[in-house]
Amino acid sequence: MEVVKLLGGGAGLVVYDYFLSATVVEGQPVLASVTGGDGGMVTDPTTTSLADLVGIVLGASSFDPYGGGGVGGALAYSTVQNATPGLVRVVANADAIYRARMSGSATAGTALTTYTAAAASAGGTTFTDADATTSMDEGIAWGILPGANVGIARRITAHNTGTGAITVTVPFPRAIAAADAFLLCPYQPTVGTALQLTTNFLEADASIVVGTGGNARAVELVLAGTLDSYVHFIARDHCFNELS
Amino acid sequence: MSQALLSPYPNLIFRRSWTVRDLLASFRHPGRPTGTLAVPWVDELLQKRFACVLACQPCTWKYSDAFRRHDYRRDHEFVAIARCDFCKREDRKLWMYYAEEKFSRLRSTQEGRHAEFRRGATLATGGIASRYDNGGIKSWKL
Repeated sequence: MEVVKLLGGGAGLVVYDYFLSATVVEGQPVLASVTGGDGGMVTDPTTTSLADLVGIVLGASSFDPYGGGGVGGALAYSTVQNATPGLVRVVANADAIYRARMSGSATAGTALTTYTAAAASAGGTTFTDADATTSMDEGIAWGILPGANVGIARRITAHNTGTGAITVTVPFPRAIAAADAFLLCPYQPTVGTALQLTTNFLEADASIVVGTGGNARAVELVLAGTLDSYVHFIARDHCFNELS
Repeated sequence: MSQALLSPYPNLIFRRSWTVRDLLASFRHPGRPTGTLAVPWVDELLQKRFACVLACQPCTWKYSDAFRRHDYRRDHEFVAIARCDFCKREDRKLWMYYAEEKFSRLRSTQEGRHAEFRRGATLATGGIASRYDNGGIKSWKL
């Protein structure tokens, strides 16, 4: 995960060093550490919570009073006296747009599931795959190979999870043939309000039901193949721009 | 003062009049420790492979060769508003250098993102053939 743009249009990342309340990895988001017993300022998110998001960890800070640890610097804190408290460098812009790869499961790096149309649809408004049982209603469907609508995306307006029938209001420009392939994601720019993380917090779990996950709003989607599609999103509950 | 005891490179220390306050401040929140010159500090940080190192423009001018030598890569899209790792100066335009092996986890480049939209036809399984059906735009927006 990374900061890819700033909503304000600038190019200056505000970088702060914060003490840790968890063991982190470079590139993961961190939240404000609000639990009473926490010893630091930022901590891990959960896969379904981005409340009080602070930003993305860039790495250990050289301003760690204990020299930043060994190779790679300290990305964890210690409760031992005279050991590192864990100081990491975080991009803390409240208007940052984050970019996360879409994963096909809770495990990062999983390919998105490919769905194939069971039957032709001359009008280009519906296709059915019995395996499409996770509701992507108000998500996005886009065509991949094989198919006549490669690279074309449409908003899903109905999804029958019993039969796997997916319907779009604005038709795909070319007729859908049997065995045409599509990918689905539960995000929609400007509309979607949630994003679920993978278990290592580095990617977006795109296999879940629309509207599930932490507070995030999609800004832009990069729709490509099963392993190189991305969602760009902003935090809806940033710790320096609070909703709650 | 005992500058030499604080530096692993005592021969590189030129005479300065550090005060007790300087030294105590250094222990409290050192960054580059008082008594250590910037050059060995640069080498130490880069050899430890800190993922992201921030350098102001004068320090970039001075140490850019070290960044290249240690395979650090500059971010050409963003600058940082923070404190320089080497001279400790607060600045609004710090260059961000990333360890090459960690760059892809932390950053993508504009060129890389553009390339995503040109290599689609080469993907074999489940990949997309061409984004030019979308008018060639780099990403689709609602």
